[in-house]
Amino acid sequence: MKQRPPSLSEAQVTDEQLYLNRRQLMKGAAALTALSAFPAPAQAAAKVYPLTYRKDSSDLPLTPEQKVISYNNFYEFGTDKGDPIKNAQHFKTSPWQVTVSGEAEKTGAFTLEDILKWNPLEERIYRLRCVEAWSMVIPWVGFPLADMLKRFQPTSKAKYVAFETLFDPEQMPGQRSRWGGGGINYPYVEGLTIAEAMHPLTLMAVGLYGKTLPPQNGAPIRLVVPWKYGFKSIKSIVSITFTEQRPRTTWSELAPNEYGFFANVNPKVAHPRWSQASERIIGSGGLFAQKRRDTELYNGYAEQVASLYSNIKENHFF
Amino acid sequence: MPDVMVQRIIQNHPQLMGFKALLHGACLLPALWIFYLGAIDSLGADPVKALIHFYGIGAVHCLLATLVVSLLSKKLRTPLLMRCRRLLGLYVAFYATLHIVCFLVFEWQLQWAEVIDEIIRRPYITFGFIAWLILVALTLTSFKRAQRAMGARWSQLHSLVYLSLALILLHFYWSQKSPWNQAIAYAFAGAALLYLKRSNLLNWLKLFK
Repeated sequence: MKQRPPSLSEAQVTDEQLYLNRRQLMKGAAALTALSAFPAPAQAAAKVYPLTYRKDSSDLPLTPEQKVISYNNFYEFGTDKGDPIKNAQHFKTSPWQVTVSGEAEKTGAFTLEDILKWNPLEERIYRLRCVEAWSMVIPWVGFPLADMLKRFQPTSKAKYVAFETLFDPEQMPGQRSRWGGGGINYPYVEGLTIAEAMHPLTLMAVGLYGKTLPPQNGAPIRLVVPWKYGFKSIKSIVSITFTEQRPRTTWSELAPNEYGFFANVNPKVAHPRWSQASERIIGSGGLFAQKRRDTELYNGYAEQVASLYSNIKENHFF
Repeated sequence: MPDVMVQRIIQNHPQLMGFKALLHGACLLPALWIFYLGAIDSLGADPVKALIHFYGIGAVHCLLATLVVSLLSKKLRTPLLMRCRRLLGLYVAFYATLHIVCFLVFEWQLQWAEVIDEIIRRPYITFGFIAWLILVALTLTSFKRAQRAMGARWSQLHSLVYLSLALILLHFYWSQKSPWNQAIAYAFAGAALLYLKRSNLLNWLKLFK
């Protein structure tokens, strides 16, 4: 199946000094070759393509790529973390369309190619803290969600942004029955306040480790909100809606006593069944190379995001 | 033929010996192999979780097998089968102990205070821990001599295996993120076995009257 790499629009061809490609750098090749169109073979069967982006200078030790792409909570492809890499390899991500609706001036359906033309790509090395008390450090490639949302000119009525994952039981076995999909009422839905959505840390990711997203990681476009538990970072988005009322969200609907709307990372607020005080880092090495770290307030991004919650009275750590 | 002779014939039954050896292999080798895979980082992204889950589910499988063996040997009147029950029962405790040791050593890196805190504060861990204490008690009194010395109280104590099964299945269900999970299937299997063994259970409950 031929697929046009989505990364090669003219808009993204920029200063070589600023926009580097990690893969090509590692190979020691000239930066220019980063713009050539050959598809790179991935570890998994699904095709991924190299991206062009501005590199992040963070020096956090990364979770190995093989672990990032083989350990996924993506119940649409099965509830075991090893299921998505097996079941998602034939997932069709092209053509892809995102429908924008609700309280905004410019609504409509936009193709992924359109969306990718709007903003240059940048790398963001974020810690992803799962509500299950483990974390990974992942080099995402994407653009700030705010840059995308501003184009739609949300009105003053837009208090929240609602997101929806593709609903396609033909392709997503987990959506075919309650048993296969962990009891979730599909499609998966998530939401943010408009202030959270517009925060510069909130990322629309289209890649990781310098390449387009593998299907099991939420291809072709997903949310990454680094100060919230991982389930807020919705995958394979097909719909964005600006709303006045707080939208319903999947996990808070499935287990309202365990998961709330905000789900901000906080070591002091335990999950009803387990502690959130510390987390195990998914790194390289086997049983004897394991590390635990103390979980940080807002997953370490308190300085940037605490002000978002200064006027919020309800418990935003749930 | 005197009873002692029957016993001896059964004990030294070559088929039984062979079957027992097979059972040992079937129970022991996977536990060792999975540990080796974990140690060399060939057990997926999170070898710790994979190992803990494998040993936990291994204990559940052995426990269900123990109860099935006990049921079948009575139904089919094959004392040979019954002679495998203790072996399987000991592997329940073996897997459950590995499950806890891995939780302590690899999940919590021997942070004892935190682990004790978790056991007390998290009901699903409390339940699992109580189930493990029962299994330890059953293991320590699993020998012929203990059985003889304890008399009627031995079967009273060993009927706690049913309580242990219930606690383990609850622990399993509660440990999952989604309320719709695989533990439900195990709970049905466990409930079916408890139903089939209801006469034992009722006899046991009468002891507390």
